[in-house]
Amino acid sequence: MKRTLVALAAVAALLASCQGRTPARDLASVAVFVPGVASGSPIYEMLVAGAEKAVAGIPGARLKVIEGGYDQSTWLDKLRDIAASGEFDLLVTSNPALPELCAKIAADWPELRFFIADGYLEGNPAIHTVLYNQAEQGYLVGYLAALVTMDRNPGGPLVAGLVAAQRYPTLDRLIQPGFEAGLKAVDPGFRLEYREIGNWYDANKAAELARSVFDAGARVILPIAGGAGLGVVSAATELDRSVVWFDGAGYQLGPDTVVGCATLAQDRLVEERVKALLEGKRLFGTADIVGAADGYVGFDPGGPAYAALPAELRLRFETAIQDLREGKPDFTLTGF
Amino acid sequence: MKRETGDLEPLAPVPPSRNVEALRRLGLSAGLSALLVAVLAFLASSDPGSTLAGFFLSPFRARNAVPSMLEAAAPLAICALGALLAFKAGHFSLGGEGQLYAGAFMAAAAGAAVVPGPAGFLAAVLAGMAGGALVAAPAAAGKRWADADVLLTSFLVSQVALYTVDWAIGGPFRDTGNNLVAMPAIPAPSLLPRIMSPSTLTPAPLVALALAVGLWFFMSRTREGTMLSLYGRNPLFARLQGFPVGTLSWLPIVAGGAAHGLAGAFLALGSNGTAVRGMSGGLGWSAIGVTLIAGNEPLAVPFAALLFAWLDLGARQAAIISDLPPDAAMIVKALVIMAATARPLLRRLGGIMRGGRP
Repeated sequence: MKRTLVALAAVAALLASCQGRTPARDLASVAVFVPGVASGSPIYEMLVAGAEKAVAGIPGARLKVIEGGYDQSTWLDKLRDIAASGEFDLLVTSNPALPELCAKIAADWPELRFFIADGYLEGNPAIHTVLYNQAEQGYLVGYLAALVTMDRNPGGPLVAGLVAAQRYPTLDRLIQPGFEAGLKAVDPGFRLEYREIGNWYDANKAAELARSVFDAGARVILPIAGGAGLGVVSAATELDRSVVWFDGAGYQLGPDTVVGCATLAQDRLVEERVKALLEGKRLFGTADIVGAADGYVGFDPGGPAYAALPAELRLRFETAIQDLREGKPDFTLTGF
Repeated sequence: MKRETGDLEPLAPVPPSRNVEALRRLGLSAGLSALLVAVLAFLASSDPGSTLAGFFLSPFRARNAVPSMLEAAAPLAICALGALLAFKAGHFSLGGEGQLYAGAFMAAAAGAAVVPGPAGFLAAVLAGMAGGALVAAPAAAGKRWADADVLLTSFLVSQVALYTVDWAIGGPFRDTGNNLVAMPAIPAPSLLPRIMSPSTLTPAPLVALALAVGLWFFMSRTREGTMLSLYGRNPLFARLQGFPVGTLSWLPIVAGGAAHGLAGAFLALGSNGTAVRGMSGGLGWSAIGVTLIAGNEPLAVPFAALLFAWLDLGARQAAIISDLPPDAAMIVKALVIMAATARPLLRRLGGIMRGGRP
């Protein structure tokens, strides 16, 4: 009995000491929810970097990065845990799937606010979203893929590849149509070979599918596959073919293979919006769409494989980028 | 030394009842879990104080935490009861994961197809149970007609079910308007009602509790339960006694599958509102651990499930407010299961160390 009392007293003392160390709730407490793993994913690395910069500029604000992992079925529970912890005022995240999950959480925790980059939801008073016009991003890499295909194999089949992790509305409605528009802007005879991996991590399967796309005559593939995209790069390197990359600087993944990277200025966007929200700007309830004209969708010319392309090709491509910034062709979106 | 006539052997101590033994095992598991959590907090976290607060305080502090923990424990307990029924009959079924996933899939399909409301709910529950039973059926049939090893067949069929359901949710049954890989949403009137917002609590924990009491009653108070238990311990004896061994060789496996399917249906009919790819999330495997920790006693299962639910929620909360890896709960659960199942061995080792016979 005595031993039990001593044990209980020890546990009570331990808990009391823990409670004392629990951080107090701040007015500007930010949780960054990464729906995946930040390391190795440029879009999520930029999400974290942007939020960190924003919070660093606001006295008294604090930030916690929480990785949700690749299992989509657990994201809702993890978001609920973040809300239930009562530790945060603003939840910052990035993924097209997140708006509807966050809307479910917002209904139960009306005091929590959300900023979601790379997603679109209008009219929820607790949520501000910004969608990138990824039709423009797809157009850029499609245009470059077409030019490279025709340069590497003059008179050959007009085929380019798209290897995706899975189908989702942004891919179906923006990325793939934009990519095809870019191909056809160079030559209307271009055809797209599409393959689907089924997940965001299986690089071996991605490599296998990429080989089948190259066998079908393609010279360049666009992977939209997260970590699995590395398999596409390795297959292209092995077969001396090329890859165009999406969302961030991918040149280091295959310096001789990745001929171009369409970029999103996610770090800049997240920094600007989070800072504005923490400063009290009334953006909740609104949904914006940003693109090439305002500099959030662009191209990184800093890769060795891009520099090695013929100057004439690069000049034609850079003219296309400039035209896109000026609205030619026009991919204006008013909603999603 | 020769004993003198009249010397009596000392009576062996009366063994504690199975329920008391199960409770003792549960208490030890909970204590061991707390100890392991504390060790992990000091080894794996740079802020042990916050980590301990996350584990021990956060799951009980937030207004929704305890009800949500009960909700998380419900499918785990229902699966564990299904596994326990099969174990009691001597069938070591490892197919729970696939049975649960198939149940969730079938429930989501039926819930979305049938008219919203009680009919949709009932259809989803029945379809879920049918899905789980269907995945269990090949192992049951193999046992009944070919005396196939249930451990192997149930595992293999479950793996097939996992891949098939993955494909179905991501393929022909996918809601293409959803960025998640998920099936179309079940209409709200067909879902389990939430009874304590903002927590996710539904009546599912009550169902789990009722099933635990029902299974305890069946196993300990009915002739059929006794027959099942005796068959599980000695099938030859059961046959010689004239028990219906043919039925006992397959029915508990299918019933266990239906229980897993029911748990899957509750997952789909709960806060998810549909079947999401990967949503079984190891629950079928965890349920086996729950059964072991509960010492195969139905009444102890809800408490063991609650212990696991606390470990999961505590680890997630600790990851949120400190830097503990969220998978820490897996390590603790694995060690607790090992300790719970190794107790007879430890007891024997203790005896040896005290100078007794091995």
